[in-house]
Order: sequence, then C-alpha cells, then structure tokens
Amino acid sequence: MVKHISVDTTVLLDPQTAPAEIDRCLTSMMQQSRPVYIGVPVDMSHLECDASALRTAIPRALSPNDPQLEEEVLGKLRKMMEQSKNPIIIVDGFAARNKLQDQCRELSELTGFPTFNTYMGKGCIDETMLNFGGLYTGAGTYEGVKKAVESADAVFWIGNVQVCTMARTSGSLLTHADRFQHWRVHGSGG
Amino acid sequence: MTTFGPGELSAYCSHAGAYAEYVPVAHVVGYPGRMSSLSQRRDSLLTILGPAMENHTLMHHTLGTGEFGFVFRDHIVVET
Repeated sequence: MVKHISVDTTVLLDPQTAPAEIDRCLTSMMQQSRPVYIGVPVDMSHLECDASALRTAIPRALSPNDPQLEEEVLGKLRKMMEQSKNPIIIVDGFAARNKLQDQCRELSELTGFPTFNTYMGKGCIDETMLNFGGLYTGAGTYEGVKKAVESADAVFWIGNVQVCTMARTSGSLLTHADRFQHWRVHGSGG
Repeated sequence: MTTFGPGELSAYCSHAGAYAEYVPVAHVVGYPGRMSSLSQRRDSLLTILGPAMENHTLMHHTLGTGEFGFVFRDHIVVET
C-alpha cells in the first residue's frame, strides 16, 4: 500500500547499491515534491559504503517545460488578460508549495488585477497591497468578496487546490469546473 | 523515521497527506536484519536479529507470516 502514497520506495539490502538507491529516492522526492520510503535493515546501519556520491548535491532544478506547451499556455493567458474586462487573480495553496510568492506578487503588481487568496494560500501574497481584494472560501466568503470574485470574467487561479468546501457550494467558481483550463507548467525561476 | 510494521502504518495517514499536498518527505523505516550471509559479527546482538528477513523469522511487528514486504502489497482483497 505504501507505493500508492510514495513517488519512490526502496529497502536497502546491498551496501554496493544503497547510495544510488538513496540518491534516486531523494531526487524523486525533491523533483516531484512528494514522499518517498526508505527501508533500512538493522544490520545495514553498521556497514560501510562508498561515500563519493555525497560530493554531488541532489539535483533540485526542475526539467524544462515543453517549449511548445509553454508557448501555447502563455499565448492563451496573454489573450485572456487582454480580452477580459474584469479579470482577477486568486493565489491558492500550491502557489506557496511551489515557492511562487515572488512571481505572484510580480504578476499582481504588473497587471494590477484585483488579487484574492484562499485559506490554504494564506501568507503567499501580501494582504496590504492596494489591489488585494480578500479571502475567497466558496460559499462561506464575505459577501462583497464573493460578489467580486464570482463576477469576474477571467480568473487566473495560481496553485489551485480543489478542496470540497469550495467545490460543493452553489454559486462558487468550482461549480463551473467545465469552464476551467488546467495547466501544469512551472516558471523559469523554478 | 519509524519502526517497521505498526510504526510505519501509524505514520501512513500523514505520509498520504504529504502526498496529497505535495510535501517532500523522506520516510525512513527501520527494518529487521536482512540475511545470514551478510549479518554481523557472531558476538553481536545483531546476529540474533540479522538473518530475520532471509529466514522468514516470525517476529514481533509482522503479520506472523514470515513475510517482510507486506506493506508493498495491496491489502484490499474484496471491494464493492
């Protein structure tokens, strides 16, 4: 069952392969930002192994985006930004998880779009900015904020976390999920 | 860091939560010893623990089947 909740697993049975097994798991852990499982038998902890791999840092840079996909996504986003009359930005939980704090602020400042956050996105965007509009939590949202968010004609939802409190409320943005377009690309800053 | 068996099973709830929310976590699990050919010095306590996995020893923290890889198997045998 542990394989369903881990991006890589190993049980270290051979001191010859143990360093490479550990490095492979840690690399997957960093690149996919998800848990890994490393089993260490009691007698392995006392054996010596080759330490030369310690001189090489675990790679943390993400592999580059597919250039064609990136261009397509940027084109669509630019078109939406230019054509919409009432666009907004929502900064959600996975924005912070992907260390997009600086990029979110830059986008918000450059566009001047009204910017909102969610409870999982708390702390990712500066709430004292002049164009900060409030906290969006689906049906439980403060009325003025709810109206502002749900009357937008384009929503740039960064780091979207699809949580039930937002999905199951009438009138909330996520009830219009068929109108959503999802992209998984990352910024050049990593 | 947990023990093998019950320790890791108790940690799976948070392990799965980290998976769902994209948190990098290395779950290190202390296993019984591997096999007799690679076990430690005869005078060591580890000699007693050492061959457990190869010999399918019935040990505390296991399901009593002598199998040590059970956490890697699917456990739902019937579903509806």
